[in-house]
Amino acid sequence: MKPAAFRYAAPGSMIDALHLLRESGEEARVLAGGQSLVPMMNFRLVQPSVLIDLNRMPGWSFIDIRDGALVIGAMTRQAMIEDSSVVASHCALLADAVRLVAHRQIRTRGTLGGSLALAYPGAELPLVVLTLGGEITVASLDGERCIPAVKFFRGALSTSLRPDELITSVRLPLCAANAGMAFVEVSRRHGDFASVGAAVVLELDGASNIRLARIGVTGVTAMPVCAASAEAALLGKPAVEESFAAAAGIAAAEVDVLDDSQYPALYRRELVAAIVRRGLRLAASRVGGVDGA
Amino acid sequence: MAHREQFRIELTVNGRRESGAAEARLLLSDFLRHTLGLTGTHVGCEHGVCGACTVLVDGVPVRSCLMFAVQVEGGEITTVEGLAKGDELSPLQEAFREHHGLQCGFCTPGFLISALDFIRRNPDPDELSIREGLSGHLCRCTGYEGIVAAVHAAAKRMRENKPKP
Repeated sequence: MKPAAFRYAAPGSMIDALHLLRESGEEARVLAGGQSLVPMMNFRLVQPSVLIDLNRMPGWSFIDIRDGALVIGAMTRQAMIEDSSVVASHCALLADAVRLVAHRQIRTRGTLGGSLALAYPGAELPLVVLTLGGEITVASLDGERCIPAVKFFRGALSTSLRPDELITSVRLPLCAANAGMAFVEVSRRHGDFASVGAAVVLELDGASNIRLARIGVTGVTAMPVCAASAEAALLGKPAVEESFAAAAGIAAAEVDVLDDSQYPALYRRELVAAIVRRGLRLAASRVGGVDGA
Repeated sequence: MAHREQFRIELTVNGRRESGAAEARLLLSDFLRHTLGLTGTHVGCEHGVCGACTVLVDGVPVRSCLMFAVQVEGGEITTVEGLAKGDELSPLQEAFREHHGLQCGFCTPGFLISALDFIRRNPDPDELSIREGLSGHLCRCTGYEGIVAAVHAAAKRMRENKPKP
């Protein structure tokens, strides 16, 4: 239960880190929060010969509002997101979801970038970023690129990050000021990854009909997915229980579902229906007055 | 070729300057216990789920089994040994004793550190928030009732002890 020996480097800048990453190639692992990597190293499930510690690079922990979006640095600790009044007032979905990530003692080290790069099935933060239509900025020595969340998450523990790339920041477009948001999760114990989780955003028009619906689901298949048919079915409908029940049924039917030893597919679909319905109800109850009144 | 490079680590632990040598792979938990001789921090799982190894690093609770000692160079650590003032137990420790918040004591150091941080951020907590706030810690002995009662009582005492403005 002790890690194998490795060469340790703590670069002082992103450029230095990217150089090290390219030089070290496949033998290297990157250390951000370490809350997933170090357990694996302690079990010797991974044995990198080079460990690149990103925690001595200043400037990658920030929470800003820029041009109608929440922009968060990749090394921002989950606890900082949890404690942020900017996040609380501009993105209730993220504020709610981050509180469900593991436990406080994990969140003091765990980072947003690390959670996205790991892309663990059932993880809360990847689901939020996907549901909000977020963009992930990554850098290599060749430059930067912005990857839409829907293209970033490829499968279980699989992203489109290249071996010589690091996530630098995440951009979350802001929803309307009066949007209602809800994050609902079922897990075996408090702090676990979601067995099934749903992220819901609703915006209503002047007649209290749904003018925008986002429904993201995690834990059902290898990566977070949007229930696009359910979202489309809600447009123009009144924000009432009947609409929510119908949409929840569509969401449960449309998603690909894992059938594994933990939960049979039928049960996962039932969970999807239940929590999407709960999430829609909750989001609707939180919608502010029209035009922010 | 294994990398056995020794790093010199200098840091502050419980208000005192400490230093020691460590390979990069030495966990903070093992550095505290074996290099510095501070065995109050306990090791239960070495993968971050039990909470027994929790210490404060630069004021916030972390799993010392999930950090490498080299990462805390220049940092400030508080371990369970830093809670009492000589023979005088802290209000939190007193409350654990009075309310039977421990039996074997193995999980207790981690609970005390996390509870201290929790009360600092939640000076007047109710039972549910205490249970949620400390859910990152496992106890095999007590069934948690005494721990929750102790934290509740300690929070009250610490509110009363706060000097009025």
